[in-house]
This record gives sequence, structure tokens and C-alpha cells, in this order.
Amino acid sequence: MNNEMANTCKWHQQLVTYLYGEASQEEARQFENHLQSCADCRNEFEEFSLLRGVLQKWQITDAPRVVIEPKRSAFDALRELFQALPVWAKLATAAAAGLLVLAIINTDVSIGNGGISFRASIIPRAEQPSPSQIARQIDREAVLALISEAIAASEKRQQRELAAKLTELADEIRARQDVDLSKFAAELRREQRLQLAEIRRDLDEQSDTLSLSEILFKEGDSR
Amino acid sequence: MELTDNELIEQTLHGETEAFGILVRRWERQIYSLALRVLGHEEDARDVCQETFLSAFRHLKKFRGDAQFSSWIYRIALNLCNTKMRRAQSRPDVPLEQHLETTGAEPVAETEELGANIQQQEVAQYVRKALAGLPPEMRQVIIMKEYEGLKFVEIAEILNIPVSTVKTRLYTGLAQLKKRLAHLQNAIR
Repeated sequence: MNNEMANTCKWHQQLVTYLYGEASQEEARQFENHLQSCADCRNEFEEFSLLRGVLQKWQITDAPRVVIEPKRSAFDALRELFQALPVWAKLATAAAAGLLVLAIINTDVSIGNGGISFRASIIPRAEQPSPSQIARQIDREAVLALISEAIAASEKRQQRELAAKLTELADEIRARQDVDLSKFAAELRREQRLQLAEIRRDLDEQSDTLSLSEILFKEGDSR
Repeated sequence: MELTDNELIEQTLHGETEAFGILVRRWERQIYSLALRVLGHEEDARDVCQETFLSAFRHLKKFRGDAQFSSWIYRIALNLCNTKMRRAQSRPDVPLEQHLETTGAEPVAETEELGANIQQQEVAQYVRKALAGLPPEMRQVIIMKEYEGLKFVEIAEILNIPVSTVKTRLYTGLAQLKKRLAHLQNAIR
């Protein structure tokens, strides 16, 4: 058989399944039946079986032991050290740690004209304001008062400005109304004049004897 | 009675780190041999083996009990191997011999006459180089099937590919190895 000839049969997956012993009973029976009729698969199966023997020549006998050493945190290291101390040292360490915590809790740091002052106390102090705290309180109140005044003044000014603008707007509206009324009145008088002239012409055409005063008198009565 | 992997994991998560040590002893040889066959380099394989179990220890809480522990650590190991191979390919200062050893670029001399008394070690060398010359995806499947004895389903789970793809890669890889080692097969028949 020519080793270079590729197996064109499509039973590749069944071949490897059978080769490695994972075929079910039915699958094995089907593949064995196929082998009887397919020379390519028969040859390839034999060659793969030999190849497996060659591959198994590469054996790894030695394997290094894995050592897992999780990194210890600083806390774990301190805890281990503490556990290794004698009883008296443990008590002393615990007391010192407690004093330190108390001191840190009751520490006051202030910055003033004289520089930075630091005061620590193990015993909690009563809640009395210090002079610097009082001064800060006063300053704070004065500042708040100034702010309130400024806000009130600003509001008043805005109200005055708004009133002035409203007044100005009202005046402007009235002035425009007057102009419009004047124009309307002027138009009205013009229209009246025109009507008068028309009436006069009509009257002139109807009668030459009627006087103008009589015509006007009649027009006034009819309104 | 021997505890199962899941029982050992449970104990580890409850603070009994000795249980994890048992897991390590149980699987270190397989992981090392996998890494060595994939990478072809002992030091790299040791690193991968160590890092695999360290990673597993750190992320043990994330391990889902529905998959096998072995599949999980095999996957971790293969990912680490792939990372090492990528770095090795990008390193220009890797000695040529080492590069050839890991990539299998040195062709197996098919015309070389091999005596009938060829030693097993020599055969192993040829096999190692022939495997190193395969594409990584085929090499991994052959190693897991032929040397680690994993089932097709297990390999598919580790690589997250269909079983049919596993079988195709295995078949194609074996066909290529057959060509590379044909002269060897004749010598050891």
C-alpha cells in the first residue's frame, strides 16, 4: 500500500472512535463491517495502530513535585509573631496597642498663628469648645449674617428693577394705544367728512331749495 | 476511603488547605506531562505546572461543581501553555536550537537509516520532535488522547469545541505524524 495515498473515505471519525476504544457496540459492529469492504480504512487503521505504539515510546517517568506556597500577608506575619510571644509580652503588646488607639482617637491638631499645635490624650475630653473653636464659630456667624444681608438687598433691588420695568412697559403700551386711537379717530373724522360730502351731493341733486342747515338738522335727528 | 475531587475542594474551601495538597499530589504528574509534551521544555513545563495549581487555588471559589476538576485544571494548564508559546515566538533572543526544539521546525530526516536496535530514547526524541512540528490544536488533542487518556467528551469540554472537531483534529494529526514517523515505524516493526 502506498503510504502517501490519502484515505478519501469519509469514515475518519468512526475510525478514531474505534481506534481508541470509545465506540459503542453498535458503532463497533458498523465500523468492522465497513473495514471488510474498505481497503483504505483497513490499511489506515493498521498504520494508526502501529503509530500509537511508536508514540507510546515517549514516556515521562519523572515529574517534579509542585510546592504551593501562598504568599503571606503582613497581617499574617504579625499574627504569627504575636502567637510566638510569651504571655507577658502578649499582654504588654495588647496594652500598648490599646493605649495607642485611645491616643489616636483623642488627638487634636490645630493650625494657628503660633504654628501647628498637637495635643493627645488617652482620656476622652469633654465636649468643650476651645478658644480657636469659639473664634471660628463667631466668624462663621458673622459671615452667615453678611451673606443673609447681601441676599436680602439683592432681592429688594431686583424687585425695584422689576417694578420700574413694568411701569415703563405700561406707559409704552398706553402711548401706543393713544397713537392707535388717534389714527382711528382721524380716520373716523375723515370717513364722516366723506359721508357728509356724499350726502351733500345727493341733496344737491335732489333739491336746490333745501338749505344746508335743514339737511344737517335732519341728519342729527335721525341718529 | 479516598475522597473525591469535589470533596477535597469542599474541604479546601472550608479552610483545610491540606485537602488541596492532596489534589495537587493527585494531578501534578498529569499536568506536568501535559505541559512538557505541549511545550517540549522541562523548565517551562515546571513553571506551567506550578502556576496551574496556584491559579486553581486562588480561584477555587469560582470552580463550578458541574464540571470535573481535572477538566478545569487541564484547561488552566493549556491556557498557560498557549501563553508561554506566544511569548516564546515573540522573543527574538530565544536560541535557535531551543526554538527548533519547541516548534519542531527541524525536519525529521526521512532518509536517515535507522538500525533495528534503535533505542527507546532515540525513538522518544523523534516522537517529541514530530509532535512539536504539528499545529498546536492538533498536538494538544493527540497529547490529551494518546498520553493523558482523556475521553473525547472530556477533551471537547476542556477545549470548548465539539466532539466531532476533536475527532477530526485527532485524525488529521495522526495522519501527519504517520508521514513524519513512517521511517521510524519501519525501523521498529
